Amino acid sequence: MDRRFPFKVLEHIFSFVDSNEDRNSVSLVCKSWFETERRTRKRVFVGNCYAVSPLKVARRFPKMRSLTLKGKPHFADYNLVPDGWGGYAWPWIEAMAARRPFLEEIRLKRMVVTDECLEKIAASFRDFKTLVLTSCEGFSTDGIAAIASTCRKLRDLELRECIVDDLGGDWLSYFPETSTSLVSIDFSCLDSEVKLSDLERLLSRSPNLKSLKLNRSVTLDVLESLLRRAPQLVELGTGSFSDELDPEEIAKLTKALSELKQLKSLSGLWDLLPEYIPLLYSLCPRLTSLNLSYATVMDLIEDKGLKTVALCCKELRELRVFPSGADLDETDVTLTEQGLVSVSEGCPKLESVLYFCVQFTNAALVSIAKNRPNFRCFRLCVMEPFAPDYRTQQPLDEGFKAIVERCKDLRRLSVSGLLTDKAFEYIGVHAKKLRMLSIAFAGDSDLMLHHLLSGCQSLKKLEIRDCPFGDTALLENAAKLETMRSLWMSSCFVSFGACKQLSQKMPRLNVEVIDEHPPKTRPDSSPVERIYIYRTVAGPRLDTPEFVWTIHKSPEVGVSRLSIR
Amino acid sequence: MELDLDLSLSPHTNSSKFGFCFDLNKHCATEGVVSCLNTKQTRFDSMFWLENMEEDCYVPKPCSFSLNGQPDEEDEGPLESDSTIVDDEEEDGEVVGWPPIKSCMTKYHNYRRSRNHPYHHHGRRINIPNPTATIIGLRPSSSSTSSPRSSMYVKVKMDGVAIARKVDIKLFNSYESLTKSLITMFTQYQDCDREDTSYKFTFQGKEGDWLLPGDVPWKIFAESVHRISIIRDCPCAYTRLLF
Repeated sequence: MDRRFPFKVLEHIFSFVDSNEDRNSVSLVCKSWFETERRTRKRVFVGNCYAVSPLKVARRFPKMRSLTLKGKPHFADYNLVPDGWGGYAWPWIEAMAARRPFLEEIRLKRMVVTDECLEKIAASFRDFKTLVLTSCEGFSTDGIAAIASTCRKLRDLELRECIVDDLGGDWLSYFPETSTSLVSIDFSCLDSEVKLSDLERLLSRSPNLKSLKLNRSVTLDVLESLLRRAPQLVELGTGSFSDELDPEEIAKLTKALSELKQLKSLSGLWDLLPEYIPLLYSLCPRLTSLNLSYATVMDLIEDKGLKTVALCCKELRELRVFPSGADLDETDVTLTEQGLVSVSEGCPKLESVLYFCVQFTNAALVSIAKNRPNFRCFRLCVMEPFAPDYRTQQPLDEGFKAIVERCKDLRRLSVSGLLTDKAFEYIGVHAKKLRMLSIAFAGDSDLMLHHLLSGCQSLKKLEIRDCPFGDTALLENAAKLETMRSLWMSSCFVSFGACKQLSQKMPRLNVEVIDEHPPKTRPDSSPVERIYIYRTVAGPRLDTPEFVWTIHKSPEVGVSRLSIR
Repeated sequence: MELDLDLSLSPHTNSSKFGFCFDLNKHCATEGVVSCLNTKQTRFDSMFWLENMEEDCYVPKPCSFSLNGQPDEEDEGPLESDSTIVDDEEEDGEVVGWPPIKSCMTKYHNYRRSRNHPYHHHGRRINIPNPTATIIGLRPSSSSTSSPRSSMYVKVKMDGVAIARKVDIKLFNSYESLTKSLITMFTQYQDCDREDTSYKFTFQGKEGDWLLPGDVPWKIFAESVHRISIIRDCPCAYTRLLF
């Protein structure tokens, strides 16, 4: 008797399974489930572009409509990964163009994307709808123009914090003259000016536009005219917010802002002048996301300002507060931990925060944890390395303990300030759902790493810099590394010998050494400057630059650099 | 407690590259931290190298965490080069990638630093490492501490106004022009009626003493002023700002 469900039934059941984690589990049950699942998966997520080959992915998922890829390690954002490391989008685009012409969405993060890639996308995928590039580089506005002009069904074009060779604002005029299907457009990272008339006309003929993120060159005096053409916006990234407006212009802008009845997310606000803050009040009650990266809260708005945010933005889910640069000579620091405490008190839905501060206290962290046990992402950057609780001079261990104890759903955590091994013991014991952890200048010994690798069950990404642990913890917990996506360590005490041992022990890990000034010899005891360890089924990668070595699996060979040139 | 702070040769041959100046003074204020630092000592010996401490007693003082650009006699080895970590042009060199801010943001802040506008609030000297100077090696370090002072931004706080401002003193040539501009700047969007109010200006010099306008000649003032405070005698309540 055939006990298997017919394919059609399984397919129907699996159509209700959305999350890729669940789908991954489903595909492990048995062969027929694997087959059915792979034939029905539409959204493919590859967290590390070197974990698997593009060809394999293309072949496995014939119905793929959406591909998300991530390339460089996160610390590349802070210049810890030299240029040329890798993360090239081309092999993926090429493979998909050849085999999956019905692909509609491509999302890339920290990858090298060239104009050729963009032109290939435009030419190959006739139903292409969504291009989201986050922290990517290697392309110019010409590539964007190709996408705009060729992809007639384009819905999303988002360039988030990319480094783009900006050849001018003409690309905006390449969108089709007829009405567009645009839903979101983000060119906030571009420098050059776009023509106001191009922008106005584009908005007028994009009735579905929900998200608009302008760049800094769009001045405040034209904002009103743009908003009038898109009152249905849900997300707005303004341009520069600093020009002097006359009272009539202010009145018009206030009205235009108050017409944005659906607006939930606000960003941009470059050079925000304090006198314009009241203009934004009408938006506050509905805001779920507020990004003050360019509004430089530390310069302008003191803790009192954040208190106002706490009072006004009751729906706030996400808050980012950046410094303009800590002037450590200032003795009266006016943005302190109190600002974050206020927001955590006043915003019941707050679940994600990125906060830069000069110094902090355990008491504040405990308050914050008590107020807001629903944090999913908590990134605190105390900018002075090794800074203890400035009131008690104690390490911030107890403060972070409160955070991980109370915030049971915490997925992402960045710690800072003076921390001993104890802090990491607490994290290991309590942070059971933690997936990503970033650490800098912390801990005392190997125990720190041991606590984390043996404790945090859900840990997928760990990145550590300038911490004093070494080989022991790494080797003892080697098996853990295959359950994780990646581990980055720089300026720690890991020896070359330990890396070799690790690589031999764990066949499906790539252990990559990044070393721009390689020594003539590498005795086993020599320290390694930066290592990046990730699980992979694709073996060592073939596109390593000169300063990256993959440690070979066989013991006689130290490091090998396989590359195709 | 004696701390041996000599540079020690260790297997960690990269220590010279990664050495940074860590001011123990900042963190030795109490007993509690001293014990913590004891365990750190071995770490410091091999990981960091410290300039010679002349003082025995620890006096807390604010210290900017910095990568040590100081001479290391042993630095001529094969590891010493225009590394991506140490940018020798930086007056107080910073650690790469710290604080962790993306390069698009630091690019923006560098841009703001260079703007010259009397009401430009954001132009303070920023100790953010210039990543492009260290990695690509094409653009020069734009730390304003190493270039001649073309602007001098001073913080201005008006009594009752939560938001402090910064002005570039170099753009003014007299107390009168400065005070007039400041009044305009602060009252532009305030409800307060200007005729009714009187403003009292005090200036704090680098030594910490507070002066009135005219106490020192303008030229000296312009070189040494550190902070400006304005007290306003205003009969009306300001309801405009929720702060």
